[in-house]
Amino acid sequence: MLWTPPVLFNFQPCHGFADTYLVGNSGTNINIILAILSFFYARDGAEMQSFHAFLRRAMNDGLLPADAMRAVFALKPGEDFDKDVFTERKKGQVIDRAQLQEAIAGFLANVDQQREQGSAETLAANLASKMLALSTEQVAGVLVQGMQLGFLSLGAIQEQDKEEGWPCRFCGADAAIIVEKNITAGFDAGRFYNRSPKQQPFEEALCGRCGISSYLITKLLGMHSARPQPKGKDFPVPRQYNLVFHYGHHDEAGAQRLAAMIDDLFDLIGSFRQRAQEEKRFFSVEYIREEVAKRAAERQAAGEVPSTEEEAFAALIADDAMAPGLETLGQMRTDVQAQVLPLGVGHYRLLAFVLPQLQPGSKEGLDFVQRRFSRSRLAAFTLLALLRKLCGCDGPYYFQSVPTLALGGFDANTFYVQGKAENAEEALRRYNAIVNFARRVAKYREGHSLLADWILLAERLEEDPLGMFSEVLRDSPLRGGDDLREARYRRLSNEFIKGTGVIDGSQYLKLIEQLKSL
Amino acid sequence: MPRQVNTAELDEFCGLLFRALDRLGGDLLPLFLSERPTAYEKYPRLLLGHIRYHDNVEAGFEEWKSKVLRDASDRRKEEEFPELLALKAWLLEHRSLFEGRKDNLNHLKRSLYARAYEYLYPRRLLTGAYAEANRGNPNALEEDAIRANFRRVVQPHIAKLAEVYGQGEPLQTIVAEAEEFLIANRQRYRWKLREVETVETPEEVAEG
Repeated sequence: MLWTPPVLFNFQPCHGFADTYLVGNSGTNINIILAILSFFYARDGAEMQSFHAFLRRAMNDGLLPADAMRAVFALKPGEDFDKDVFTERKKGQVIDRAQLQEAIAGFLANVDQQREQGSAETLAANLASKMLALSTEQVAGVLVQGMQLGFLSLGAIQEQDKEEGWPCRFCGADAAIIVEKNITAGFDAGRFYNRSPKQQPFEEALCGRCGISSYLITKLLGMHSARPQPKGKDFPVPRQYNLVFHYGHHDEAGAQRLAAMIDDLFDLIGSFRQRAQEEKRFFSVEYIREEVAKRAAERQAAGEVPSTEEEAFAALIADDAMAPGLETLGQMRTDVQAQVLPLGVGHYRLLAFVLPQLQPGSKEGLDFVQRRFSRSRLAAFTLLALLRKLCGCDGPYYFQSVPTLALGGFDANTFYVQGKAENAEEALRRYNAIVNFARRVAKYREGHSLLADWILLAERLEEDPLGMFSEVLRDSPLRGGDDLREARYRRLSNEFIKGTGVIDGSQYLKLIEQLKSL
Repeated sequence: MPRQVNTAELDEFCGLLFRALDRLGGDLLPLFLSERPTAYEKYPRLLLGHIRYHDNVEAGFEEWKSKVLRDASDRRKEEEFPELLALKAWLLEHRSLFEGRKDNLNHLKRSLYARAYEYLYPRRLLTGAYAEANRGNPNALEEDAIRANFRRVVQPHIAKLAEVYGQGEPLQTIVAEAEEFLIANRQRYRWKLREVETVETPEEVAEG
C-alpha cells in the first residue's frame, strides 16, 4: 500500500506541542503523553494497546534513549524494565518529568533523522497501514472531481485513472477504496445493503471522497458513543445533524447574528420546556403561547414596556405557519449547539445551518425520529419556513439537496427538498394547514416522540386527505361521554355546544375546506 | 398504475345523497350530532356496498332504495320521493364513476364519515342550537315561529360558520336547509327535548 510521506510532515507541529507543552506541564497525565506517542509511532495494534510494549520496542530499536528512560522511571542499576515495574511506577507517579522531557526530545530527534532517510513507513507502521492508497495528487483529483468554480470545471479523473471495484456505498459513483467503520459510516457500518452479500467481510465500501468527507465532517462536528436501539450496545459514531443550505444576501456579521438568534430560540424553548415539566403540563407551542401571553399581561399590568426581542418572539410564536417549525426545533437535542457557517465571499453567501439531531422517545431507536423527519417533505418545509422567517430574505433553501449555481442564477423563494424544487409560498399555503392540524390532534404516547407521530399523520393526510380525516374524526373524543384516554387523537376544542352534545367542530370544518382546496 | 379518484364528482354525489337522506327523515341521518360515527355512515355505506356487490348502479340503487323507503319517515317519503329519483338520475348519468371503479368506491367508503360530518355538523348545529335556546317553550317549535325567529336565534352560530364558509351561497344554503329540516322535524325535536328534560330532572333534584 502506498503511503504519502507528507502526511507525517503535517504532524510536525504536534511534536513541538507534545514536547514543549504536554511533557513540560507537570499536570499532564502520563497516559496522554504515551497515548499520543504510541498512536503515531506504534508498529501494530498490540503496541497501541500496551504502552510498555511500545516503549520497550522503541528502546530496543534505539529510538528512545534507554538510559534516559531508566532515569524517568527511577530504575536501579540492574533492575529490568518489565511490565510490572512500569505499571507500578506509572500508577505511583514515580516519574522524573525532566528526564521524560529529555527522553522524548531524543526520541523525536531520532524519528526526524530516520524520516529524512525515507523510512517513515517503518517508523509509524500501524498508521501507515491505515493511510489511503493514493498519492497527494490523486487525493486532490478525487476531491475536486466534478466540481465547478463558477463555470470552470476543476477537474475530472480520466477513464484510465479510475479505480476498479465495488461502487461506493454512500454515493454509488466512485470505486470504494476505504473500509467502512462505525466512526465514518455510522451505525449501518457492516450491516446489510444490496451489494453486501457479494462482498467479503470488511471489504472496502466507501470511495475516497465520501471517506474523506465523512472524516472531515466528524472532525468538525464531533462524534459520540451511542446505541442505535434503547437495548443495544454503544458504538462510536459521528454526531448527526440536520444540514440546511441557503443562498442569501448575508455577510459574516449577519450569519453570526442568525446563529445567535437560533441559539436564543433554543434557549427560550428549552426554558419553556423545563417550566412545563416542572408544572407537570404538556409542552407544546400552545403552552408557550399561553405563557408568553401571561407574561405580556403581567408586564402590561405592571406598566412595563416589552423589549423588542420579546415582541419579536411573541410575534413569531403567534404565527401559525411557524408553529410546526418551532415544535421541531423544540425536539432537537439540547446538548449540542446549532451553527451557521457562512461560505464564500461577496454579497451573496451560501449559509450552512448545522442544526442538532432530533431527540427520540425513550422506547425509540436513536435515529427513528430523525429518519422520519428526513423522509417527510412536509416536515422539512416547516423547518425551512422557520429558518426563512428568521433570516428574513427570500433566497432558496436546500434540505437533502445539493446547492447548485445554474445559468441565470438561482431561483429565489424556493425550497429544494429531496432534490425537488417547490415554491416556498405555495408549499406553506398547501401544507401548513395539514401539518398544523396533525400537530394539534396527535396524541402523546409514553416513550414515543410526538413529533414522529404528527409527521406520519401529516404525510397520511396529504396522501388521502378525507380518508385520513375520517379516521381522525372517528377516533377523536368529540362527544360528551367519550373516554379521553381511549381516543387515539386529541380534540381541537374543549368547548361543548349546548344542545348538540358535541364539541365545537368549526376548526374541523375549516380544515375540510382547506383540504378540498389542495 | 393507480387512477386518480374523481374528487369533484364524488363531492357532488355526496351532497345529493346526504340531502336526499336528510329530507327523507326517519333516522337515515342522525338527528343529534352526538350519535356514533356508524349512524352517520350507515345508509351511505349501504348504497356503496350494493353498487359494489352488483357492480351495477341501477341494481344496487334499487335494492338500497327499498331498504331506505322502509326506514324513512312515512309522511316524508312520499313528499321527498323526487329527491331519490334525482339521485338515481345522477347515478345513472355518472355510472362510469362507480361501475368497475373500486378506487372511487373505496375512497368514498374511507372518507364517508368526514363528508357526512361536513354536511351534518353545520345544519344540526343550527337546529340543535335553536331547539336548545327554546327548551320549555313548545310554541317556538311551531312553523311560523321558526320562520320568524330561526335566523335571529342562531345568529351567533351563523356568524361562526361564516368564518368557515364566508357569507356566500354555501352558507345561505346551509341555513335555509337547516330551517327547512327543523320545520319538517319539529315534532321530533319537541319529543326529544322532552325526553332529555325528563332524564335531566331527577339528577337536578338529587343535586338540589
